[in-house]
Amino acid sequence: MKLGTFIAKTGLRLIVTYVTIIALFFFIVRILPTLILGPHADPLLIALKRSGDDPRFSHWVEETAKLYGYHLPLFPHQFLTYMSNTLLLNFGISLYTQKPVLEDIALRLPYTLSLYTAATILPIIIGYYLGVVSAKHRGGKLDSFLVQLSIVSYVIPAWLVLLLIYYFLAYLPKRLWDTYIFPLPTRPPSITVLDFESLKYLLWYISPLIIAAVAAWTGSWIYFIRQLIVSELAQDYVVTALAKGLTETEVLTKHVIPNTRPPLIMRLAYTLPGIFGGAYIFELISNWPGIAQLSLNAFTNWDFPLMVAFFTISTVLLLISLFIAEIVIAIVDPRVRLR
Amino acid sequence: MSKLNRITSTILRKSRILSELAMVLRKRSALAGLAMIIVIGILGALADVITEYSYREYRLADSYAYPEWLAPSNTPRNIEKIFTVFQVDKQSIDPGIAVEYVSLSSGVILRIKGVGKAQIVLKSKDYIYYPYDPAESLEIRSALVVQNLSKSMPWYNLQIIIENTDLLNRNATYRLNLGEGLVKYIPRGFYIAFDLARSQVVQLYEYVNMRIVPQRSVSVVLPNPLTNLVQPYVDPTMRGVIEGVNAVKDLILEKDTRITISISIAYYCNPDDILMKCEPGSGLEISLEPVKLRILGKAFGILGTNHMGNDVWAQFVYGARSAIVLGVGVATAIIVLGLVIGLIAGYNYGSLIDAVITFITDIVYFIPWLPLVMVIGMVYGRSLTIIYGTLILLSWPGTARVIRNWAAVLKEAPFVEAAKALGAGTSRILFKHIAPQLVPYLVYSIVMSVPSVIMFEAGVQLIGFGDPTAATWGRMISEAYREGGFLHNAWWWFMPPILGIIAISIGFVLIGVALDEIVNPRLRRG
Repeated sequence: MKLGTFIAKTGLRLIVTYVTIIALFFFIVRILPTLILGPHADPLLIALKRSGDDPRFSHWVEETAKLYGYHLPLFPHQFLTYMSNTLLLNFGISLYTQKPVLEDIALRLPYTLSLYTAATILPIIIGYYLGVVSAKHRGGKLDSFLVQLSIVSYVIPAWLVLLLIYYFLAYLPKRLWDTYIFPLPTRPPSITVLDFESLKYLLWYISPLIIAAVAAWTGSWIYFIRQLIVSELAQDYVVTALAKGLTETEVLTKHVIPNTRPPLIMRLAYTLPGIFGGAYIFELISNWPGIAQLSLNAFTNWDFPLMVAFFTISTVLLLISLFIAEIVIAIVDPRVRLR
Repeated sequence: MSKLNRITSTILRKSRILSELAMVLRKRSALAGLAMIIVIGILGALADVITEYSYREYRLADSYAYPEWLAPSNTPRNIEKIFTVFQVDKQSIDPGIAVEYVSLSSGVILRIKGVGKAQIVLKSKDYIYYPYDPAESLEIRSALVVQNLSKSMPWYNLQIIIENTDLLNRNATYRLNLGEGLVKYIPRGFYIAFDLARSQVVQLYEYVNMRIVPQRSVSVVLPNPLTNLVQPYVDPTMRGVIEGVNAVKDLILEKDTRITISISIAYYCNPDDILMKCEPGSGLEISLEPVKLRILGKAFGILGTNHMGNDVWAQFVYGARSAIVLGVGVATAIIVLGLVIGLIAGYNYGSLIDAVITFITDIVYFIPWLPLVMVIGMVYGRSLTIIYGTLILLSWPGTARVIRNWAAVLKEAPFVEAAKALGAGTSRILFKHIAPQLVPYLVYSIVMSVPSVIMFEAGVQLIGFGDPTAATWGRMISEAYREGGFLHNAWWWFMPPILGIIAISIGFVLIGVALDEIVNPRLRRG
């Protein structure tokens, strides 16, 4: 199969997945509650009712009811309206900010994405390096220490590390000596002003998050890469390479490490969903001004357009990262295309 | 003979799998992990025996009470006393009024009848000797029944007063610095904890037939600005609760003093007052149950209390139970669901059923679980059942994929052919012949998913969509984080569940890593 065909096929598969997940969401959120709990449990109805009494929101109520075709029957009409709106990313207006939902999300998405990217990439870089070191010294003290460390850090989720960092480096010093190493997660950095001072505060604010992510997610990468390299080192070609006079470092850098790339990228693709969830809890614990805060407000206040948008955007982000990963794998490891 | 053979072969096969699993115990790390789990399991199993209070019971002591064994001897402890016997201390009664007073073991009954004014103060002879540093809150509890003797209704009031006789004798005052050179001296040793008129101003002028107050339970917690609106002195600038004064700590309690309770009853009946609707023959019967006074200590139990005064030890121990039971139970459910789906797909490898199942597996795998959990929490409620149900329905795909590939290989194996030739049905082949081959892998996956199940619950609690009544470690951690446990440095509240959650996860992973070394060769051979 050519690369172009492969990309087209993967893309098509993921689009079908996307459409199905979006349809499933409608089923779970709109149809199932009305079937199980009765018509009053429809979230859109609740959203419209709650804000219907408030004259400030009358415009919103009208717009939203129109956008979702609320006065039409639930199944074919509203479903089709919802599907076409969602697929074209037309979500309407958010209840509380009274601005288009996409605008709200676009304002906060950079914060989420920067946290998300840093928290994903740093552990991989550090884990890769330590994994190689561990595999080089396999059987030694450093190796067994790194392996044990990685087991511990594999178990402890990032949010728990973050809580511990906040307790020991922010709350406790604040209480005992009235000083802190990291800021208390109470005053989040501003998202509208961007000068040097606020940027400094932002970096200070994000550092415990990054440290927690590195502490929690590096471990599994160390272990994974170590196992990968160790099993690769047992291959015949390594013996051949050593026999023809290459040093172990040369073998590692020239032969072994390139061969570990495809499974690494594969694993990366499949850990992204989990990291997304972990980063979400992160954002809420630390009051990070990303889309997690926005969506939590949306969910607890029945801001229906924002709820739908958040679910859709999460799905899109997830599938796009998967798409990229699969294509990169196909480029790195052409065997994949044959499957 | 063949039956005997079959039985022996089954036993042999089972014992082979069991002995393989038991090989794990030769590894020291696995033993350590098992020990951690067993300790937590014993805690959970004995939860009913080793806890004194329910984890739901609140205000067992003051909020953020220290662990008992850690607190110095001066730290206030819980003191509880029921004041039963009351005697008339002071009274001023108009001549037109008849008063009958009975003090029983079940409380005090006072019958007042006639026209005019009456003021009666009852005082208990009992007292509490208070030996600690001042505590910060206390609680009084009683039940009050007021009955009209005729259709009309006189005006009355009942106050429950906490008195510190020693402080009263000393004429002690509390110096309140209001800033800008203003200093106020507040009399100590006297505090009106409950005032019926203040809490019932609206009802006083309502015309009610026979009963004014039908069995009303009085429970007052000090300091509580909502129920303790009355101060024993008049000051137009500071009506109600004074800021900066803790009534219990600053006004009532002092080390080595005596505390008692008095009840003040006021009665007024004037037939000329139209609004009052009081007739000459009217009167009241007031009965008050014994007054229970509890001083809430700052030291409590094995692990102190949380922000609501719940017993942290009970929460921790019941959390251990739910971590083990729900963790293992839900992990098993996930793996079994994955097994069934994977087996069906793998056995029909390449057919339409397989394609459909694979498609569904992919879809479920890529559903973003967090928004879904939140939506489900909003729409269907936030009970443990719903949260774990969602988790089970979302997490089977990982196992199902592996099992599918396995079953696709195993269905070509000779023993499956043999079973088919003997006429075994599909379900029999799947669950009696293929599934047992997968037992080590299944055990491994269950063990490895227990930590993530427990952490999932805790994570959901942290984003605020967890079950608010569940006894789980996740709830303890998230409550401590949200409700100020970190700010108050109440480490006895959140450190035990954090350590527990880490210990149980490491325990299971250590066993899992050891199992991995046994399981994987089998996987490769397959």
